[in-house]
Amino acid sequence: MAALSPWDSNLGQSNRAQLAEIDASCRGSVLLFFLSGMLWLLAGTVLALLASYKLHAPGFLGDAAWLTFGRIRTAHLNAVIYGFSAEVAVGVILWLMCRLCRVPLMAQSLINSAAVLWNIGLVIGIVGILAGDTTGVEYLELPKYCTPILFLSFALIAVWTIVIFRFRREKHLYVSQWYILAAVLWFPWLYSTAQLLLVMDPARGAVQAAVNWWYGHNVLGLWFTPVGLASIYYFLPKVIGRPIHSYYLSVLGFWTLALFYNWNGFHHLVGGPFPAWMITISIVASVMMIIPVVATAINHHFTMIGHFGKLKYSPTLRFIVFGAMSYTVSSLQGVLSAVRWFSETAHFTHHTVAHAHWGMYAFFTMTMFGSMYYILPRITQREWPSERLISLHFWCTAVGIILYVAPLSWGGWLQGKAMLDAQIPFLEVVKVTLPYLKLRTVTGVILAVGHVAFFANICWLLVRTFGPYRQPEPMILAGVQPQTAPVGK
Amino acid sequence: MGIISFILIGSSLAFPAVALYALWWAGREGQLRHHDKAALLPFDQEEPLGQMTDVVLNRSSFPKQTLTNKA
Amino acid sequence: MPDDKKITPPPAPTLNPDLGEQHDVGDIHAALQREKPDPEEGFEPINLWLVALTGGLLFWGGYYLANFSGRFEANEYSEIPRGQAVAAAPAETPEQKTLRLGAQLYNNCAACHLADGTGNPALNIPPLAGSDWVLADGPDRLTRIVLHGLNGPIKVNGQVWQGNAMNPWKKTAENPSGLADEEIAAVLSYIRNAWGNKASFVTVDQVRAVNEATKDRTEPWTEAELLAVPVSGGAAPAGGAPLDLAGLKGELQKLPPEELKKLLEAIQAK
Repeated sequence: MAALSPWDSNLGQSNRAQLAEIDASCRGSVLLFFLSGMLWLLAGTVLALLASYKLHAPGFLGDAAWLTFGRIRTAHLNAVIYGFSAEVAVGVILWLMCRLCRVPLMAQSLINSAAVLWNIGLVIGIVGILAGDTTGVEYLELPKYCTPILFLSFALIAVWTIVIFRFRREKHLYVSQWYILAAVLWFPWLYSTAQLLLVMDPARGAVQAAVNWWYGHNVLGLWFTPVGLASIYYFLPKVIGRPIHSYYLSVLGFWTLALFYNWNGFHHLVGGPFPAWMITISIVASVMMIIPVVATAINHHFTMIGHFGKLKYSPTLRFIVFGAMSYTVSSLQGVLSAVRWFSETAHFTHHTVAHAHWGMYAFFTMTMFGSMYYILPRITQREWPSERLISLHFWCTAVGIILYVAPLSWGGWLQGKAMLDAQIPFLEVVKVTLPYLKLRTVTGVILAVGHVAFFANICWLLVRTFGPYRQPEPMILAGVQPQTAPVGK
Repeated sequence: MGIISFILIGSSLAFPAVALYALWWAGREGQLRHHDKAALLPFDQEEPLGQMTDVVLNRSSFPKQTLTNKA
Repeated sequence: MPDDKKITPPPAPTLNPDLGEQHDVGDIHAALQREKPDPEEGFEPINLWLVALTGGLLFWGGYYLANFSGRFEANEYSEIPRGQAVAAAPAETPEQKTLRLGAQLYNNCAACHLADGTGNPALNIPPLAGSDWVLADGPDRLTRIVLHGLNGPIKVNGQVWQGNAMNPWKKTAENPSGLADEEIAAVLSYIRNAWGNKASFVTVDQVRAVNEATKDRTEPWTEAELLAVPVSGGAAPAGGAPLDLAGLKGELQKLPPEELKKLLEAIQAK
């Protein structure tokens, strides 16, 4: 170790060989996470379409127990949350950490076995859900015989991330690393606590609901949100070639998120049998989330100002900017949903469903798509094969998700208003939601088209990489020579 | 007081402790200073400041002089 | 930690670079040149109005926390500050209350008779809106249908509805989720006054009386059995043949004179 490696000559300024080495070292593991994540996305999309169609055609495929709505919807949720979102997030985390720590990915077999374990655990879990073994706890439906596998896998990932951080060559931390390190520590803590208190040795009564929403809200806010923000903070400046508007704001955003988010979950229990102070503290903390959200929004917007013309050229930028804007909108909508008078109408309606998709899809998933558009050509050292498929992917997902969430939010609000009116029979309330539910199925098909286009493009890229013809594509990789040398050790 | 209670209480005490340690560590290491330097960390010689990366779509209309990497 | 130091030796900033001769002057200048290409970039101070917004939010948070937390007591479930009365719900008349309860209970019926009471021809479910059975002067037949159900065809507004069976809704030991007398009274009052229907409310006493009178019955009713039950209130039997004055006269004339005289006296006595 004492011997000077090429790295030590110019700390903080990676050169071509170093970048190529880092990207090449990430190739196998990141591809493993991305590809299995994409397969889960396709599976989750099919399940979502079935579940959505059943909401306005209840008899459809209702004969087999494992195809009933309760199981299909649950399987969809777990496939896209723990399958697609979590796996792609880990892939992005790997690459970002290596790039920002300026070290090649080490111990790939460890991280690869974590990926395999995660997928095995999840397949067992999803099959278990379809077989009727759901625990019935929202966001923790996976049966208890698969969750220890998932926990073990994630523990490996978290330990690995900290090891990479420990051996970093760049001393100073970028804000993305703060978010990533926090996320990989938060998630195992949340997951193990919720598993112990809700599945392994269930708490009883009101405590159960409290822990459930503490977990349900935090898994989105303290695991997926930080990873999404880490990507935005990295790729936005990177693509347009300009540093983030204010680094102060990003630090403020991180620490206020860390301080306030953990308290938010109980706002889902407004009106429930809980001590008033629990709900009130949660509402106050939810409103305080305006601080990090506005700080982040200002920071991203002022970084982008004057550079919007670049959206024309970069798929990454399109998805990332869409995700960043959605983060602001969905977070402010979330703040509104936490307030008592709003929650009384909007909760237990499709409004909540729309909000969840606003956050998980319009913000997180779009951000992950953007990150994959940047990372995949670099680790495979090949250009994206089809511009048409990229455009199709972007427009289908962007238009699709807007047409999904905006009308459904409004439909959910109408549903809540109707449910509060005792004069309106329940069946009438159901009818109010029907047009919005049908529109949702249509937008689901549009989203599915986008997903298939993206997957086809990835497969094509991989055929170019590993297939018979390997043509160098100099455009975005200008100057970076293909280098397949093993990681220097 | 089963073993689970001890695990839960322990972890809920340990977690804020880790967070506080992280904040203290960041202060000691100077991570909360030199923000001008930190903001430049995503850039390097290969993908430097001032140059757009990831030009994939509509390449024909992209300004020529910025296309090639100076390295 | 010591290992860490080895991997990344800090490039000790030499205060006096000339002494050590370790650094090329050109290198240093190059480093300086690219250190801060634009000192403002990435270094913008926090906007003043963001600070103001943060302060405002913190102030509001403190206020809300102090006043709407049920004094942080474990058993306080209401966030309303003590001494501040909960806004009273607008006063409700007994009729409104009955209709509200009836509307809620009608959700059970809406599965077949539909939310607007139009019935479902595809499933042979007769309508309730405008139905002569529902709008009959008294509830005795209607109550029986709800209590024990109905089997076989039924003629509603002159149209015969074939064959569908209505479930019994009487609350019994075997059917604990059935409807109590009060609930039957409410839902009957509701269907007699919803969708443009206009008829008298059904009282709990009326339902209880029918329930008493039929307490041994378990089978569903048929139309013929129901038509044998008088419609209390005394007008024409709903669903039956309209009152035929000429026919009635003929029947009366057939009576023995003794009987006819008794009848007339009884009417005069009224």
